[in-house]
Amino acid sequence: MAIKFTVITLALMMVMAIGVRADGISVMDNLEEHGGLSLDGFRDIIPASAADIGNDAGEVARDFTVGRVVDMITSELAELASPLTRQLSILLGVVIITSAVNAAKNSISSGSLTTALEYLTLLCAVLAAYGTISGVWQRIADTLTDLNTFMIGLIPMMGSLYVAGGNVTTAAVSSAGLMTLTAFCEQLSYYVLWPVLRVCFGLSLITGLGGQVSLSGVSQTLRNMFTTALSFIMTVLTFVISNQVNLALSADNVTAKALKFAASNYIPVVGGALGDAIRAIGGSIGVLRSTLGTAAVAVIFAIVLPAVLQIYLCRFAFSITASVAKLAGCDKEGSVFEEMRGMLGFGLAILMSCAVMFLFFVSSFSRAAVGLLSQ
Amino acid sequence: MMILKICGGALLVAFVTLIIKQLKAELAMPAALAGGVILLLASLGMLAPQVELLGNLWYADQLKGYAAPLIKSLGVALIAQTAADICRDMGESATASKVEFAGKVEIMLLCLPMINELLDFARALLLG
Repeated sequence: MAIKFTVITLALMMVMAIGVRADGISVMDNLEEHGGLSLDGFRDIIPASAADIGNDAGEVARDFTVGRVVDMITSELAELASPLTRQLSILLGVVIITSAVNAAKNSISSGSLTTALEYLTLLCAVLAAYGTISGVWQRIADTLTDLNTFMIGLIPMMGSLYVAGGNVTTAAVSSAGLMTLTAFCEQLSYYVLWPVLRVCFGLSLITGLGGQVSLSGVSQTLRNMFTTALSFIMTVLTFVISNQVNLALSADNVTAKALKFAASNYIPVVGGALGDAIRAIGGSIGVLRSTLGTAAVAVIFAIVLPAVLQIYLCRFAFSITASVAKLAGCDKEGSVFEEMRGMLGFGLAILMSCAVMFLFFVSSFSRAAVGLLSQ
Repeated sequence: MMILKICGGALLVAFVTLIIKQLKAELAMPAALAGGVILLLASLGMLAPQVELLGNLWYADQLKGYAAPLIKSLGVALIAQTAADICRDMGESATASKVEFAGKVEIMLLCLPMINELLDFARALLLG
């Protein structure tokens, strides 16, 4: 009996001499081996003004400072300045020549000749305005597509980091919610942007060339209706998805706490060290999430910035042209330019709604509590 | 100043036409017509520096597509109006109406390329 007791004691002492620790675990090192948070797949959709944005999320997050944002804005403005100045000059040139023709037209007593001249001056104004706006509308549609492409590519990365941080339910809920949002934004271009443009185009043609008929009020009402519906749908989607994610986060935190308690208290010898290792991993996951979140915000900003700046500058150009037209006595031409300005505002509303929604979810992701760190 | 010369010329044409009407009534209308054409050409000649200035603008190539039809149409309208007025002065209001109609058709023909461009834009927008 004493010999058995001695043998067991010696065996236990030999086992206790073996050192056990959580050593050299670094999620960042492991991630680097497998390509890191690389942005190589998104190179095609990042605009030229942000082409040197960095090769992976770490670089992008470190470089995304106020100075960098200002540099991107100024370089984009410099690129847009020349073509838009040319467009503005053409619009103002058309307005000035139209006003000269209108002034000379007053010396023509024949009603039919003056009507023909009025039709021609309006046609010139309409064509000059559409030549400016058509390129901008295509740019809005392309930017929405690029934004969706980026978010679809980002969803699996976000899901992986949620799961790695112990937020398993949150990963599923967040991925499903974001997929819904990207699908909705994808359909916006096809079912809202182009149809509204076509209808407003037809209404502005009737207003411009249709004599006494003015349908600018109808066009304005239509755009307001769509903008209100869009705001409502976006608000509901944001509310529902963010609440689902918050609930999933809470559930994951409770689960993680229970697992950590069980690991610390029921696993002999190494339970405490395991708890420390889990905390270290959780901290690394938190850093990764913040890095990816900041990088995603930077990329969304880089994608949306050129289109937003172009829309603002075009709206400014149309405002100036409309004011000059009304000062020069070309009221109908001024109304056409005001209509174009309104249509651009609608396009801006759609683009900004989608961008802000995605920024909100990416920011929530980077701020979400890591389940492994829950106390 | 050119305007003084044109006003002086117009008064001279009116005076000469009045005298010719007293001497030989059938020559009064051709005299008025000749004087009117000369005055119109002199007025249009005053526009030459402005047209040259427009052509020298740095964005003139892009503006040409809009400016050329506008200026040509204005010229067509002025010429048609002048011819119609002369016909009415001669008592031929039916002929004057035909001249105005021809002027309107000519202006619409000048619009045709722009209407085609607008239809192409509409087609591209509607058909996607």
